[in-house]
Amino acid sequence: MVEVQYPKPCSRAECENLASSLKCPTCLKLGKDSSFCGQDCFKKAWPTHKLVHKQLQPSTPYDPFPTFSYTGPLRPVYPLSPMRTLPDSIPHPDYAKDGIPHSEQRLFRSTNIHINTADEIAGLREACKLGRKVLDIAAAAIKPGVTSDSIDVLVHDTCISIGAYPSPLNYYHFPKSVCISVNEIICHGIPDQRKLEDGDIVNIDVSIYYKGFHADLNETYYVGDKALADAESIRLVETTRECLDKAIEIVKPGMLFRDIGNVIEKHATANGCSVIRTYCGHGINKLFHCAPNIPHYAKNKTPGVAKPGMTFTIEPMLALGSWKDKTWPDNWTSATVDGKRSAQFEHMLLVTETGVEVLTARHADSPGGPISRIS
Amino acid sequence: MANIDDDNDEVPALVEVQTALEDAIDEDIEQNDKKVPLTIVTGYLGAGKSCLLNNIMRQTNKKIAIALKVKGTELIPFIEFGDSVDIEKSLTVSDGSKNYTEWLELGNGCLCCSVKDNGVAALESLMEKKGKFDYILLETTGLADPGPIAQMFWLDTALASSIYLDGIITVIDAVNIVKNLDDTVVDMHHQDGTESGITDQTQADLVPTSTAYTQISYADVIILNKSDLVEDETRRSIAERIAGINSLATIIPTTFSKVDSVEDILDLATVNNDLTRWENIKAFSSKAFHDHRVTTITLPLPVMSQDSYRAFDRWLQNLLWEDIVDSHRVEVHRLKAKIVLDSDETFVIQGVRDTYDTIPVSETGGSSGKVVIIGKGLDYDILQRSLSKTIL
Repeated sequence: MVEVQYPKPCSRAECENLASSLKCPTCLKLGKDSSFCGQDCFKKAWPTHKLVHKQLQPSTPYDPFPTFSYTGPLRPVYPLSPMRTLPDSIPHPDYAKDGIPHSEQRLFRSTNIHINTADEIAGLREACKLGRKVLDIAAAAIKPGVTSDSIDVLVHDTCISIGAYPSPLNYYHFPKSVCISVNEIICHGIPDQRKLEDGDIVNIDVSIYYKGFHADLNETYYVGDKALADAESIRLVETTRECLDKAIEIVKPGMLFRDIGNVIEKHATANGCSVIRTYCGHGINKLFHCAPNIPHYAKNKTPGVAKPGMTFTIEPMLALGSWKDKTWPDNWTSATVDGKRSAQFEHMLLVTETGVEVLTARHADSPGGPISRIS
Repeated sequence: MANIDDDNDEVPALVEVQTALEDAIDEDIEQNDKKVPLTIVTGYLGAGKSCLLNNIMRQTNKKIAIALKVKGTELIPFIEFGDSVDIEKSLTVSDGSKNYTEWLELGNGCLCCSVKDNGVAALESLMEKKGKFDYILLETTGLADPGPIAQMFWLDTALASSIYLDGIITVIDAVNIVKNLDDTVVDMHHQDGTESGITDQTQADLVPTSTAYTQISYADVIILNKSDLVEDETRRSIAERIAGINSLATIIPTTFSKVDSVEDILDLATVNNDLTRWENIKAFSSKAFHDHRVTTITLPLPVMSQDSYRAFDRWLQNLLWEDIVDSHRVEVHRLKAKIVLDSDETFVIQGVRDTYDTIPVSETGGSSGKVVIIGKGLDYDILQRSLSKTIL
């Protein structure tokens, strides 16, 4: 196709002139066409215009929010890699196109909890099995020096190889295929160019959409030997792991969803950790997020009672300091307000006639797993 | 790769960066402050909502923030929270004599479930940024269902929000209310998720009602506006019909939405848990006032043992969460109950749709309890039978 050349407006936003043939030399080197009406206008535009160069320069890592008051030492390392795509042959959820989960929005505020049919349960079980496989592959790649973006590539490519869509991709415009949350990041970390460091703790939250069903699970892992020798991080991570296990123990028909938070908060408090309150567990089936809403803190008034056939997640997030969170200007990354570390574990559960089935259960050879506390 | 030496030219201007320490201090100050009450003002277009808001601002020296809720498509709503309840990006702030506009920062949607709606978070951040207001008035659109909005602002105490829901005011146009009530359409609030194959049957097989019913059923206070434009006889019959729908609400007849005292309509939360008020609730338990669409049912509760109370709690869960009483379909909008245990403990239960909270109260207001239920499909005999089976 032939591109028709129209006179473009001057690249300085405030200028109303048409551009001349004069172009920014740096932009040209970076493969972008920025035309201005003249040198004077270019000079005026320079202070803001030069920022464009940084965004175009993939090899120069930068902090996209230099004026933001970060709560801890962690910084985003941009530029983000371009948004990845999938072959059309893989079934896409409705939000893949425009970022809006229309089917979920139609059920907004509905507290009607879906009971899955036997066929749906079989589909969810299969999706969860694959979800576990993806998480285990991603977790095996964790080591100091690896970027979260490279783990995102691994998750994305693994999804394609098994015929699954990575659920986070474009969900409300989330730019990546997995959430990776390091140290003081509570959840929803966006994979970027930061290299994992010896001593980090890192959560990988994998969700996949397979044959019409979502699976959702996450675990927190220790990075390098330093992390395995850090008593505080171990107390946090192991307590969070135990909170999830204890919560799962009470799941059976007749359980009130509001009681899950009581179990989690009790164990967290006993181990000197706080429970993050802003984010909840959720129903999941053909929809990524739906009723019930499952807070992890005590004394919540969330409605609903567990019945056989219901599927949902429990995903406690604990912190060493304050339970309060602060969201980065990327509108996703949630950090603890005091910069202290946070950990999370998540399983997807099916209520059975007699109790519960952990759909995303670990295998004997899954990476990670519990370790002993250091006193 | 291109060589960029942007750093070598003009010195960039200094930028102000707030430190995390300042943030932490702000947070401490915030925790010590008292919470700001929020009242939802609902009613049809032209009923007199804006007029009421203006009167309130004129009649009080409170620093009031007014938030207008609109149905907007450009804002991304949070998961779990309705698309009809987005707060417009700007809101009017009245600071004594002058009004000005404040812009709200609205966040993104949320990948995982967030417990807070976008609008709630935006109002909280405004409270942090501009210092506390004394009061927030939230005006809904004419056809809004106040239920989901009320639930949205009825946050768990654990969330330590700077805002709490005080009450719901519904403004009614006395001239048009009868027509509005009878103009029933099928409530389209819950639509089916065709693509997912998952549907919401919550409202199936219930009598269709108009929004006017819904707005009246949730109200703590009903402003019967334009009272001067109808005959005394008409006004009385309207008031009687409204009381048949919602026996808990206070009905205040007005002209030009002018109330004698704002104390009658604001700061009601404390009043709502006040047990002396319970004795004054008229028990519309007979069929005389029974509106077949939305009505109030009051049932007496005996002094209960722990076991009966546990059974009552399960009955309540069935009523509010399953929408079923002995295989009859119901839809509860509001519920209040006073529970007296044989151990001398007393509780007040407040419910909005499927959410309810049990609040221990210290004083004992009478010798036995009662439960007041407002909603659709309620039948005194069925409820009474089911309840007595439960707690005996």
